Amino acid sequence: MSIVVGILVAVAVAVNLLSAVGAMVMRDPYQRLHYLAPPSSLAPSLLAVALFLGEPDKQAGFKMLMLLVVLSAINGVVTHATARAVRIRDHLPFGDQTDEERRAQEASS
Amino acid sequence: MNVWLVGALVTAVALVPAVVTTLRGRLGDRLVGLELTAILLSQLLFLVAVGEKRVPFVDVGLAVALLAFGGGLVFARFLERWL
Repeated sequence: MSIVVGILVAVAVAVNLLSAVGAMVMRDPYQRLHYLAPPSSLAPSLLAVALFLGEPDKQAGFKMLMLLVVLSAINGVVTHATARAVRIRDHLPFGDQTDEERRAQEASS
Repeated sequence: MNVWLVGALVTAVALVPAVVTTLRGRLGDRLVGLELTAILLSQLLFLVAVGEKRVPFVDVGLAVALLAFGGGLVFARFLERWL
């Protein structure tokens, strides 16, 4: 059983390490954002299974499940918000209107 | 040193490229690096707590993840125009 736990932990931390390296070498924020998903979904899942198998006290496993739920839920929201912010910043001059504001102004005029 | 602490050590190594991402590039790149750092840090704190047999301290990692969520959203909002 300890071998299985070791393998699960090794794969989880390898996912973390490779994702961090991947995020570092990518070109722009949109590509980097993809590398947030594996450490916030896959790695906690593997660690939760490893904790349930390897630790007699199940409290840590349940807490890791909670961390998995939190990270999975917030990752999508934060990724969307970040991509939206970068897109607005890249495609509009500083202080200019957003696309929605411009469309609303054109519709009203 | 048990398997959890070895995992924490490797996760700490993974923090290096995440911090490098945070410290260079444009603001959007830095924000992604900051979010990645928070995700890795929450798991690192979790693994250290389990490895040291101090299970109540795993809540620290959970708190870091929740606080990073609010911080990331605020940074993203201000990054749109005001930063």
